[in-house]
Amino acid sequence: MANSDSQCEKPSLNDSHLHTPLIIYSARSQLLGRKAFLKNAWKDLTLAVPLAKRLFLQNIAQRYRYSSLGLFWAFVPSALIAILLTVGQRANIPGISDGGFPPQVYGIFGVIMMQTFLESLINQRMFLSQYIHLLIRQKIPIESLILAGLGEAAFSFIMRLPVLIAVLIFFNVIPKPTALLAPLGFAVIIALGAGAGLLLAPWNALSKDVESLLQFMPWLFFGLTPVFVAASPGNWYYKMFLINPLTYPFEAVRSWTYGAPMIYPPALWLVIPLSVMLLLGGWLFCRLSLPYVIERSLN
Amino acid sequence: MENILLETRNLSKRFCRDPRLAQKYTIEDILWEFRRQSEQSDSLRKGEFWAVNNVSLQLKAGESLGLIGHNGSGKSTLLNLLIGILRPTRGEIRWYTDRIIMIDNQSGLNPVQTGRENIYNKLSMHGMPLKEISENVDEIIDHSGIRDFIDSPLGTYSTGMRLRLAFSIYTRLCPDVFIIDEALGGGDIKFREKFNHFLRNYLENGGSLILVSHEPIILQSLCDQCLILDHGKEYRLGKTSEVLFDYYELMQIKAEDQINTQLPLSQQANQTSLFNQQGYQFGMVQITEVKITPLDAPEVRPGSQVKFEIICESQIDKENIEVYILVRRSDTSHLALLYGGYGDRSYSIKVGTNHFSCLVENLPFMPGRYNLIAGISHMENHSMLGLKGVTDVPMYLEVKSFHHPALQVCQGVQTSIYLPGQWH
Repeated sequence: MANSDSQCEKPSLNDSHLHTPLIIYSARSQLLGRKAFLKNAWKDLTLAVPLAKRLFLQNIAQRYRYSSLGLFWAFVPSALIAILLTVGQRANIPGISDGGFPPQVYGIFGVIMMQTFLESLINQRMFLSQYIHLLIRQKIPIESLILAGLGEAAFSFIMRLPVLIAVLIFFNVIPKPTALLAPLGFAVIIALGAGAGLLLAPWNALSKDVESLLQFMPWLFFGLTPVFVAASPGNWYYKMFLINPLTYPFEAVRSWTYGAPMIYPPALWLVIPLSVMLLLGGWLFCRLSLPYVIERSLN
Repeated sequence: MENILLETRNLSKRFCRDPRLAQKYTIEDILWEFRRQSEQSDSLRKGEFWAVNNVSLQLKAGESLGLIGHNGSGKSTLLNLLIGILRPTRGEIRWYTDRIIMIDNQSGLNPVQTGRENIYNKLSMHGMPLKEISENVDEIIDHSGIRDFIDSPLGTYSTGMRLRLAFSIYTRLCPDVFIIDEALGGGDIKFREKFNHFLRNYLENGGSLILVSHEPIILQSLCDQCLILDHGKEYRLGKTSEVLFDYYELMQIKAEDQINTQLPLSQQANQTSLFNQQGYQFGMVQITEVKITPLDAPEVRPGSQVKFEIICESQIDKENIEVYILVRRSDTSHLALLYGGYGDRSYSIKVGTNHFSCLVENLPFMPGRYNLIAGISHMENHSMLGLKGVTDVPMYLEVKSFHHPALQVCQGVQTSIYLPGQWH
């Protein structure tokens, strides 16, 4: 033991090291010193990256470790939905799509974007309850857990890309050069999902009632977002689509990829900063609530 | 202000036991954060109590601080406050280092992941770059001595293996302060000794330690300073040897209180039968004294004939019990067990005072001071009825040296035991 210990190179405890506390935990409101709060959050975020990478790789490996078909499962569900939609919608359902594109393309894009959104949301909503057994014992930067979740959502999106490309080829839809922007739309979708999930995570961990209530949410989102049905003025759900921020990245992805019309393009430029703010706000809210969530889990 | 690593001032934390109220308070507290105030309200809300109350302490580089107290005295809450998992209700904690490692009895590792994954996670959690981890990983695995199991999930490891792995990982991190929560309890003797040895070495090299333990003897062997907590409050803080006496006194007062507040006999019988159903009868027998009498010399010497007696007060009648005295070296390794109640020999215990005695013809111990633990348990399942010498006043056996040529040779070559043989 002596040998291994002597390998340690401890920094000498010089004066500057000693007079300024490196870490202070006080009873003051964490938001009293807003600058310090943000500075610490940023510091933890930078420290969290290596662990986030590890967790991301492990979660992906664990997800597919016990299945003989491995990564095949990452895109099979989306591919199956795509096939079902293609086969099932022989007849054109009126009003399902606009702009002369096959409604199946609209629907499959919608389903895959919705899946991406919901996965991102559920992933972040559950992360506190999922990792609480570790958080009550060790000081782990939650940023690494959040980043790993974002990475997983991005990974799922990448695994579904081949399905989207296959659909375009199958229906002879020629992608536009702006299709290269589509990942930005997906990033906004992931950020909105993650931001909403993070704002809900503490409540989810605190109360079983909230958890049960939140399980309804996916259905609600399916109804409020143009997944299968395009928004066109005159429809009763048109107004609902208008106030739903998800509508705009959904439409943008379709528009950028194959030129489907958008309801109100400028709104996207409002939704992009909104998604970033939601994500940052959700993260900071989780940071703020974490000690209290831990306290409840300890008792 | 030289070399201070940790300071806490008037540290307090309130908790609520009522789950409904606690939920309400948690939401209130989260919303309170947005009001940007400098202190939370000082008073307890309905259903709350102080889990930690006004604790101020200091830890300097090279110092080791022991925390001791009965169950629920606030030790774990204090540790959680120190490492920042919980937020104080009042007061402040200042750390002058960020190289702090906490080891709890779960070793702070993730049971679902494999040993190797845990090595990567722990090290990257403490900011070690992946490249450096990959360079070190083989050495860490060799150091832990569990190479064959390193790719199995941690949940399949024994406590000792888990600790061994944790220990190899943490050694690599070279912290300024180790915070250890009862982790020494797990693992086999060899490992415990290795760990003790490691901690002593670490302290000698200028490391600092905060150690929580129920066993005064462990604190005595590792800590210079000790803090006794009672109901979240500082009962006494000072030099370990001085403070532990107060702890024994405190435990004695608590034991007496327990006896004084016992139920009337009729209800006691009910309670006893309830305990019987659950098979839980710990504390029903109180070992009051362990008497050691040398029979062939004025004092206990190597090779003496010695009588060991256990005197106890029992609240129950019980057939088929076993009695024993465990002899430990001062470094807590087990040396010998005087065990009674096996084979066709069985003991029984009656309500009231009971005596058990045991004669050792030639005591094979070298001169020195040995720690004793006496116990009485059920023979069938070894569940304990009474125990002395662990969480209360330690008991010692002093073996004195005397002039004897064979003994002096043994002392010269530093043998572990003294075996007086009859040569013909």
